[in-house]
Amino acid sequence: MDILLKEINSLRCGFIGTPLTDADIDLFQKELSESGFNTLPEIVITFLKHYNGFLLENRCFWGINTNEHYTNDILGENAIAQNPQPNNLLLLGSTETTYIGWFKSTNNYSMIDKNDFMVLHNFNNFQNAVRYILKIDD
Amino acid sequence: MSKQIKYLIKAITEELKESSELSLLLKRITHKYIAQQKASKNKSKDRGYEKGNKKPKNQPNTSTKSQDKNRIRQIVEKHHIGIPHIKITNQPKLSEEQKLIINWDFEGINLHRETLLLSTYFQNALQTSENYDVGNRYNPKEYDLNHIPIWNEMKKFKNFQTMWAPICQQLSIIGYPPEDLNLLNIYDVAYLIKKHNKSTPPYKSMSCQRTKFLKMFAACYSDEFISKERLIGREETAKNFIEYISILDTDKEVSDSRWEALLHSASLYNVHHKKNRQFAIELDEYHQINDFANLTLCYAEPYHRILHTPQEIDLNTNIVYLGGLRQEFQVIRDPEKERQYLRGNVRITKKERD
Repeated sequence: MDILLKEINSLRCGFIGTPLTDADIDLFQKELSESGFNTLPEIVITFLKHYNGFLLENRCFWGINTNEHYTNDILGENAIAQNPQPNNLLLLGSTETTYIGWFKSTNNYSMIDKNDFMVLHNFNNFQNAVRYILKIDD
Repeated sequence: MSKQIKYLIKAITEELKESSELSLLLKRITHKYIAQQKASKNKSKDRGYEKGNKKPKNQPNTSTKSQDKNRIRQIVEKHHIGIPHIKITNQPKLSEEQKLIINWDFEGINLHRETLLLSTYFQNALQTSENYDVGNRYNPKEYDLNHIPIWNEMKKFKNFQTMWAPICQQLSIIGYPPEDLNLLNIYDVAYLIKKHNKSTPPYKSMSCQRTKFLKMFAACYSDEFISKERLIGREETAKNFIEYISILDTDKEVSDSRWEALLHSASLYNVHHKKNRQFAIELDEYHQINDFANLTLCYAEPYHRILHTPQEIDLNTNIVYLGGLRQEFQVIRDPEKERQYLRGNVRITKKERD
């Protein structure tokens, strides 16, 4: 995670989220759970505490948007995408054509087609899913 | 005040009003979906209700949710920007690999090396090339990429076609045996293209259709785009966006603060597929899905969103920019300008001309 955070730190991109507190995250987890969605895994929480969402051109890792608008907010975007597997899949970000999402049952981070939710690629870890969204090359 | 100005003021006022209404409707649909999920979670806990004895207290008003969706449909239909997509049943589906190829052709190969699922044979060849001097054992001309099974899909896309020589070059560098090309998979080919891209300036890397579309859009329509955006109070973001396009795939340097402003503007616009990618198979050739004719620039919120929510809209083929529901805020394709661009006669941006 440290390497990823350093890589992001050196990126030139538009940061969208305001820093989160533990209380914000606890509240959001409760809201996700009550809404029938997966709660955030530990690694995503760690990431959100550093970067509450990231926007690069039209590629976005969503965060927790406290203004109740659905855009770039993990809960709002999952709702408007009408996530077909709310108990298993949590969408975390998007490009123009794909989502990245976390499958609870397999603990996989995947690239998912935005139109029909077909899994196009499984990332070997969370960090590489974020690298895909933010176009961080090797 | 002239009639034309009055007409424009009316158009702007109505556009802004409808845009706000659409945003509100999308927000309401989102909140109702969440409420519905909550209610259905409560329902499963409520055994009494499952037996059909009572209704849960928090059940959302689903008729209102469908009314919101209908209202979006009504607004979209009123302006004739497209028609709801009619799904053709029994169409074969694209495979994961075909979809991945469409995705790479459109937005480039953005997978980290660690995440590429390289074939064992290719991995071994790579390892050997790192440990021993195997380079130039084979001449690039000895490779016939048609022996790579997935290449027959990839070569349907112009951007991949142009990668023939660079891929052969990379295969030669690692000393990969030409007789084993049939063992390569889609990720091996992606790795070779990425390796080429890293070793060459941006303008010699494999281009992607998104960037090509934006370059052609800026060359043909930047003035019209900016003037339409000016009407609705988005002139600055439109100018920034055109400047952002001029920087793509070049070595041009801009300061951090300027780049931040350009990226912010770029995030407000999306490239939309008129015929949705999931229906690519309905085209004469599915690789036409990323062609200029099937792409359009779109102001992201709420316009891009309503083309996908609550249903897929097949956008009119002549629209090349959708900045609003009314023609005053749209740019319509001009075949002559596009022909000139393709012949190399149209400037890239106003700024470069000046």
